[in-house]
Amino acid sequence: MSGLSMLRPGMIATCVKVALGALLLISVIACSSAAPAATTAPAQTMKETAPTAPASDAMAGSMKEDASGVIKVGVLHSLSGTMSISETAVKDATLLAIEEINASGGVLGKQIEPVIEDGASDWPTFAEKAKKLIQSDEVAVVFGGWTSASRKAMLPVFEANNGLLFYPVQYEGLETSPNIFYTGATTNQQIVPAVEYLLKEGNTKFYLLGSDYVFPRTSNLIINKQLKAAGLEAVGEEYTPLGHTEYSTVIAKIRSAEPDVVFNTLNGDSNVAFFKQLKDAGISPEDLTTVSVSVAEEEITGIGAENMVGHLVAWNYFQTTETPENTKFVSAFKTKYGENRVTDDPIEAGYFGVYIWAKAVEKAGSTDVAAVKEAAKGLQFQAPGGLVTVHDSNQHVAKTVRIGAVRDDGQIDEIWNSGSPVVPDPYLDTYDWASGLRESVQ
Amino acid sequence: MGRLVTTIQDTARRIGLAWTPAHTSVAIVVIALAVGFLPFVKMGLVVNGVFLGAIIALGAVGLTLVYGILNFANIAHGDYMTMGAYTTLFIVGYLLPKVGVEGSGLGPFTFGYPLLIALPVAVAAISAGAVVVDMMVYRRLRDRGVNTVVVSMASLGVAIALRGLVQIIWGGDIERYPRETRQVFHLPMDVRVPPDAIFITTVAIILVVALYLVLDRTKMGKAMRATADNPDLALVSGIDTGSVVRWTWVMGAALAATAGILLAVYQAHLLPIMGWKFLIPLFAAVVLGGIGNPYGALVGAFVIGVTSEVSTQWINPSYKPAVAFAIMIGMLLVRPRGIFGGGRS
Repeated sequence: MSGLSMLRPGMIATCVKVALGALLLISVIACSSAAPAATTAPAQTMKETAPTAPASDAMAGSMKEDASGVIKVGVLHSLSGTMSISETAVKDATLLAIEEINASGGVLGKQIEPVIEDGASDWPTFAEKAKKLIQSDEVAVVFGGWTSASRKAMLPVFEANNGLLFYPVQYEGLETSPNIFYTGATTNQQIVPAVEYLLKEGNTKFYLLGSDYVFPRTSNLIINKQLKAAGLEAVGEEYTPLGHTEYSTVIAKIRSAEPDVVFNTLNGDSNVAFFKQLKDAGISPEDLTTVSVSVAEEEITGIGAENMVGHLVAWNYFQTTETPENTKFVSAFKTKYGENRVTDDPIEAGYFGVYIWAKAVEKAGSTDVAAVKEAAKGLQFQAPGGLVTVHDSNQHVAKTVRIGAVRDDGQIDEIWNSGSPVVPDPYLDTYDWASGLRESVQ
Repeated sequence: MGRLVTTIQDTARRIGLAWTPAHTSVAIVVIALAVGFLPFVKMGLVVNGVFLGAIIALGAVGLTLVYGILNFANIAHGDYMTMGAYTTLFIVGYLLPKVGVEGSGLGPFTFGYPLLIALPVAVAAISAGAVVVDMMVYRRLRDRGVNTVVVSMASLGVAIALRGLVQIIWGGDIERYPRETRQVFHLPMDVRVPPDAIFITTVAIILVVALYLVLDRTKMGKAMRATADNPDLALVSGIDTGSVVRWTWVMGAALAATAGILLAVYQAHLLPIMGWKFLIPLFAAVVLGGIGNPYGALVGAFVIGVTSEVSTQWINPSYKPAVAFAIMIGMLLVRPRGIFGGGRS
């Protein structure tokens, strides 16, 4: 009794007719809309026309200013799952900035209304939610993402719908989407200067340890090139799966390689295990320097400050950074969310990203994506971590690089900074030793 | 009354009609409900649902063919989709650049002609792979005459093995085909159509028409239908069941691989888990259309696609698969033989 025999020619013919009809309909739709789509397609053309006529881009979905006098913005972070421990705090900072801006009169005289969505630590979910925020909620901008995987999943959605994403976390660089503003560091604002610092301090034997995914692998690709230019070679390179917690073998390998420094790009829970087991193995920061680029104040709380005292980290901001803006920011954050809460680099980037967008909207006089992008060029803001400047073309921000040592209270003492903001260079075009990097990913 | 309906259905089935007056009345109610709801539904979601339905259709038709002819639920079907998508990634990202064939962006589409070259090659490779897996795993089980549940469990093993293979070769990270940025078309009623979706739907329609021609017009198609009806009778009538089985796998896997590639194009990324997660809408479409009925699966696919997309207007998009699952459970409870009543219970 199978269905295959149930189908009679008459019914099948109907199916085929319906199918052909649908094909015809779709081709008609495609032809009728191909012409206007072609004119809006390249982002460059929109850039040229937008500043003078922001309203001309209505086709590309810019009717985000509600008649009721609010501007909707999306906040899209993992509020559940493995990444929620880090991302919830960034969401909190983003909401704090929105609250502050609203308290001082909002943007264009309108209040900002956040639409909060949970990416659930699942990359396709990030893409789904981004599509929902743009298409159903018609938000003017989305603040969100943490992992590179979530950003890569969202990127096609923002590009196809001409949406706008502010991404607040340091990442592996080698990307410039016309629809993303990167408020975290790219490699020349974190990893490259950290390696330069270590070289200047006389370290020659580098051991590269990372989680097995795109950020650590790309970072180490860059570090290897940088070391080669200095006439050196890494004494070891090791990747462990995300969530890996057994580091005795790795620590034994590190011991036998006798490095001066371990460059640590481990992410998530693995750091807890690694630093505890390093301490248990009797290896102190005096014996072996480690530099981490994915461990900030929030993560140190989880690892336990006692396990990390004296180890180094590289970022653009610490809670201890001394600026008047930071004093205000830290106290506002603690007042709103509790005395025991800490701030850190991605939290700060999630916070000042909202201000940059708001300033760009004021300057453009509209939330239209092309107009906001144009207005954001060269925009400056006194962020808690110091002055940040939006780059004219790559949509990253210039920011100060800082290296610090972990204290016993989980805070970080700055031991070096770049003195002035470092101009973002996501493809490392200005570094001779990095030639060929741009080509390798395109 | 119930008896009368059953009698009418049985008679209709005997004379070869799968459509009964009961169907007509149900169809009218469903259409009326759908039209009544339409003003409250975002058209954009309906259109998205149609595109999703086209992809589900390709997967579901293959799944139901295997179910109908080989008589077991192939849990590895979603991972055949994944394999198809990743094999294509290997061809467009590694093989073709090696021989100097590169380029992205073709007309209004985000992908280039390398994908059009890779698609048939990958589909052929997955079809061949499916035949090999059948020889290595399923044929041995069939020859021993084991329970169909055991065969399904074996396919679960195949599914996990295939996914592991993908993770070993490509890693667990998000991947994507080389692509250009293309803006969506903005149509009236706030409908946004990605150009790729037009390509996807066109490919789906061509394949479904081709499938119909194969099943209806070719000797092999007739042999497949006969085998599905009564394997023993088919064997004694001189039908080569071995080659029927092979062609079932070739067609089922080819459709699955195509669905996987189109899914990767539509969602603009690949993940090792992509096919596995797609299994729920696939099974829901198969159950809805009646297990073993490829045309039922086709209708089921669009119902599932549209319903789950439209549901996101009211519920969290993460629960989309749950909507498909609910429809499947409901259908199994109310009408285990599917909308057209032709499927197996």
